[in-house]
Amino acid sequence: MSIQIIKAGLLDSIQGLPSIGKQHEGFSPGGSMDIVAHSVANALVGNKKEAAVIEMHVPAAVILFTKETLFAFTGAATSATLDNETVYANQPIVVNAGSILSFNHQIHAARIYVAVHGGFVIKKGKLQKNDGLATAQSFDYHFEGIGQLHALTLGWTANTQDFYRSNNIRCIQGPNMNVLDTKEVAHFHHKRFEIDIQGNRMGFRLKSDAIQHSILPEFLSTAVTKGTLQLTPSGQIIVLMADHQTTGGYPRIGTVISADMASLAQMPIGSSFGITWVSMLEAEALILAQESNLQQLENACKFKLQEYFSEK
Amino acid sequence: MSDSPPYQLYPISDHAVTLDFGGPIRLEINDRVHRLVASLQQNLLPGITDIIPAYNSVTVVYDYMTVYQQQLKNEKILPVYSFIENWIEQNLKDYSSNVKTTDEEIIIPVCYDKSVGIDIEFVAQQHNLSTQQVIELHTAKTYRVFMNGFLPGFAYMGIVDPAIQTPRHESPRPLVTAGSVGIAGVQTGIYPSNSPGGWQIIGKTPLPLIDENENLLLKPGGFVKFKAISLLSFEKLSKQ
Repeated sequence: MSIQIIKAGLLDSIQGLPSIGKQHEGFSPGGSMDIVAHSVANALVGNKKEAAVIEMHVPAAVILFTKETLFAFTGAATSATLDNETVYANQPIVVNAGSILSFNHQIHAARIYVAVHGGFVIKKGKLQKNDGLATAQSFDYHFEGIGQLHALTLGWTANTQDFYRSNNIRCIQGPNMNVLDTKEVAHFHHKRFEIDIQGNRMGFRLKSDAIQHSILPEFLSTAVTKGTLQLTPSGQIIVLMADHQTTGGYPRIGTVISADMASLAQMPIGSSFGITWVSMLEAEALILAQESNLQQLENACKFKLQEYFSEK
Repeated sequence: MSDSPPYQLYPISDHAVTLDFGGPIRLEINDRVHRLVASLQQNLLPGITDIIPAYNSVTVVYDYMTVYQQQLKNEKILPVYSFIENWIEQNLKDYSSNVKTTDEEIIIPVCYDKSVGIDIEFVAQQHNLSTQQVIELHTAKTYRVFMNGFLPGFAYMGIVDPAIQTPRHESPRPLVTAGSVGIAGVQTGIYPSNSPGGWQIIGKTPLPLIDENENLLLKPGGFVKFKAISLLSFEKLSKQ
């Protein structure tokens, strides 16, 4: 036993990267909602990108470390309490056995990620259980002792600001954009879209007056992806998130670009954003830039950690 | 393929491209879908993560960075989505003769008793048939598994005999139990797990459609025939 949930939060779960090769059988890819925060948390503690992390919402779980480790948290919380000390996001933190981590500080976004050095050991098939982590549930991790643990933080912080935007989400236009009338299309970029309370890991409902008419053609079911903007018969848009169904028959008016999915995943209920249409070429340039920046950050973390461990 | 029907090819995301034959649900078109899928699987490229067949479309999902990095090795650099589109079109040209798809037929035992086929009397009434006639018409045909979707292991099958085609309920039931066999228009299907659902439930199978290792009984492209069983054997088989 290495980590124990001593107080369950709202919808805590263990998540990896989206799974591959099962969508044709109807299995949702799942995985962390905010892949950037997931990846940064893993990079900070020297894990591979695919290592499992804990995804938490607000209120977040209270966690007891029963074994020493190196951990990091990223995403929605800028700080947390580790025993009586304030600790900060986006830093590798050394923790002793018996320490308790809680998130009672102000939270600015929707999802918090916690990674431990070596990753959580998860039985196959357990990754996408989203029914929450129960109190007293515990998870093991591999940890090779790093000798005397005295430093609380290792002294560096990853800058993740540039990965996120708050006011505007970029999308490519979808194959069924033509179900909108010309006036709706023309005014689309002036409209705001608010994250409705009914959202979950499958999809966010967006409140907006962008679409007025409600007579919509039906389409034969076809594959949909993360980020797809589906137009429901009531005129409401649903944007598909990590646990989305693999196929759907609602008109697809657009898709959020991959580079903006982390930003969208972090938007709290009640916040709103505008939609900007971009071309496929722009979307590709933006995903390339984001992946390169993430790679750079991962390399920097690796280098720093090597330096730290070699001094031990 | 010389007699290839018209199609549209378009990105639906910056990591997925769809080839869409269009039109209503038709066996010939869905057959092309599964042959294209088989061809794409035979000629797989690094970075392709999912190939998803639907009634009349195939969607290829890919990892942008992996495909991009492969592309860097080539002399001619295309946008990644164009590169994927070209690959799909290439397979569309080649798939005519040498691609083999499955023709295995799976027999599904179904109890059509009204205690588990809660809408069978309604379906019969709609068409001025006896429930026995509904059972005969539903078990007479071999169905194609057009696609999986909606839930893990949910198989969309067809084409249902026009004499028993019935539209789905206007508002879905909050709970349809696992194994329930339903009809919705030209489609027939089996709920693999408990779920809300709007299809007309005419029977129930004792067979599990998905096992604990997430293996499916009914996969896209396969064929299915239903066999009527008594309530007694349904209960016996359910206990196994």
